Order: sequence, then C-alpha cells, then structure tokens
Amino acid sequence: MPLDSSVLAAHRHRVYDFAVRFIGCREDAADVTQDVLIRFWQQGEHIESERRVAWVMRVTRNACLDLLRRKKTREAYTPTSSSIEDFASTTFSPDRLTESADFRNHLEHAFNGLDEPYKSLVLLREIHGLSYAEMAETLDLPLSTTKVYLHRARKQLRSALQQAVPTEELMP
Amino acid sequence: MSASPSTTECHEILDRFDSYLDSTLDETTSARFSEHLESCEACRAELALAQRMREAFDEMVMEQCPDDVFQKAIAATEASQNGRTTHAVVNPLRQPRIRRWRPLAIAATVLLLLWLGSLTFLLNPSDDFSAEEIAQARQEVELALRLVSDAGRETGVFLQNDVLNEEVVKPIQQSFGQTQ
Repeated sequence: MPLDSSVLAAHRHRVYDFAVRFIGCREDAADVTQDVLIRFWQQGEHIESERRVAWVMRVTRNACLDLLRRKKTREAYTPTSSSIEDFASTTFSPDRLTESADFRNHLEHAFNGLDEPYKSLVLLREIHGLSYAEMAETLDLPLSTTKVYLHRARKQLRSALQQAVPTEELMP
Repeated sequence: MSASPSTTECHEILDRFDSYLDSTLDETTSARFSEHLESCEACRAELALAQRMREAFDEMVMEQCPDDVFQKAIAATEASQNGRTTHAVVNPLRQPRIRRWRPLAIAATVLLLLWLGSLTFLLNPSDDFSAEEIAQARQEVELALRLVSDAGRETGVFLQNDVLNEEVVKPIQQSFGQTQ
C-alpha cells in the first residue's frame, strides 16, 4: 500500500528547501521535489518511519547531484548577486533583514562555495536540524566521519567569512 | 581579529568549538575552555563568529514547496494508482527540460548551412561539378553534420537521426554518391 499523501506533505518543504539551496534554481528544485515525492510515494512504505527523513534526504541529494551532473556546469547554477538577494529575502525572517543582511549574504556566498559533502552537511544540520546519525545515513558515511566533516565544513565557512568580510562586520 | 589563535590550547578549542557551543563538553573541559577564552582575544573572536553563524542559520526560514509542485506529484501518484500515466509521472530528472526555441534555432542554422552548400550546385546548372566544388560542398555538409551531432547531444533532440538524417542528410549524401 503506497504512502498516504499526508506523509508526502509532511516532507515536501524539506525536500524543496534542500533542492533550492543545493541547486540554486527554484525551477529545477521543483522538478527534483516532484520526482522525489513520487519515488517516496512508491517506495516509502518499505522504509521504517524513523528512517524516512534520512531516506528522503538521501534521495533528494542524489537527485540534485544527478541534475547538476547532467547539466555539467555547476557554475551555471551559482546564484547571481541579485538572485542571492532575492533568495535571502525569502529565507530569513523580515524583522532581522536589515540589520544582518550583509552578513547573511556573505554567509550565503561562503555556503555556496563549499564542496561536497560539506555543503550537504551544513544544510542538513544547520537548516534541517538532522541528527548526526541521520546525516551519516543520508550521506552513507560513518558517524565519526560525519562529525569530522561537519566540523571541517563549519571551519571552512568561518575561514571564508574571515577572508571576505572586514573584521568589524563579522562581530555581532 | 587582532591575532590568530596560536597556542596548543587555542587549536584544541577550535577543534572542539561545536561541542563547546552545544554545551556537550564535560564540566572540567568546559571550564578550562571558558578560562582560556577570557584571556585569548583571538579565540573569543572565533567563537563570536561561530555564534553569529549559528544565529544566522537559526534565522533561516525553510523554503516552502509551491502548492502546484506538490499537487502535480499527488496527481501523478493518483494517476499511477489508477493505471494512468500523466506527464507528471515521467521522471523529470530523466527528461531534460529543453528550451523550445533551441532545436528550432539549431535546425534553422543547419538547414541554412546546407542550403548555402547546395548553392554551389544550384548556381551551376550543369551536372559537371568540379572536384573543388564537390570538396567544398562536402566540407560544408560535414560541418553541418557535426553541428547536428553536437546539438543532438546537447539538447537530447534527435534531430540528426529522426528528421535531418532522413529528410536532409541522407538525400544529400546519396546525391554525393551519385555525383562522385
């Protein structure tokens, strides 16, 4: 018996969000989301409920990687400065928009510059709040490696921010 | 930052920043780190940046999946359940989105090249073509074929095999065979 649509609904925003941030293109993210939800509907019944998040995120990430591979040039999906502004304006709470817009833009740039699997790890942990175990399963990595990689990813983000932004702007 | 973290303790702290921020360090280690942070400006700056990054991530709002995307997926699953197939069932990841104008533009370009190549023959009403004319026309057709091939690879449209090959390329190749 395939999954109920309410189960798909519960995961749709997670899938779409990951795809948008990973690919940087809403149109392609919509295609990925649709595909992942259909696959989830087809195969989700065989997955234990506590492992569904990791399964969905793994399928989503693989679909994003496939898409980028097919499109060949990842550069084509690097958001322009205007799209970053547009992206930022829809992904942050409006009340904090003015005071920290610059920092967020720098953070977005630094995030977009991360390689895999660091980018995925940051997304899964910082935005989607996955546990280390869920991230390890999503990326098919040992738990200890997952922790090390996430640590490296955060370090890379800090380093990129320190290089790109004047010191006084980095301080809260 | 006025200085970079430089001591062994600085590096130990940097390596365990996340645990420190998550408050998952044991009490003794945490107290030692706090003590170090009080006296080390460089580590304080790193910590402040890490905290600010966390705050910025915490402020992020998850992108909302548009309703139409979700509805299409649901429609596809329902159609699949009922034994029907809709466009939405087709795996979008395996169906590259092709800009509609692109195959047309490529086809027009190729046809123009072929037409230009054939001008050599049209302008010469006699059947007596020189070797130079044939060679030139052959080069132009080969160029056109390469373009078609590249276009086919890039767009996934089977211009070469399905349309051009049958309607344009083969007849011209056959005519070459006849004139040679």
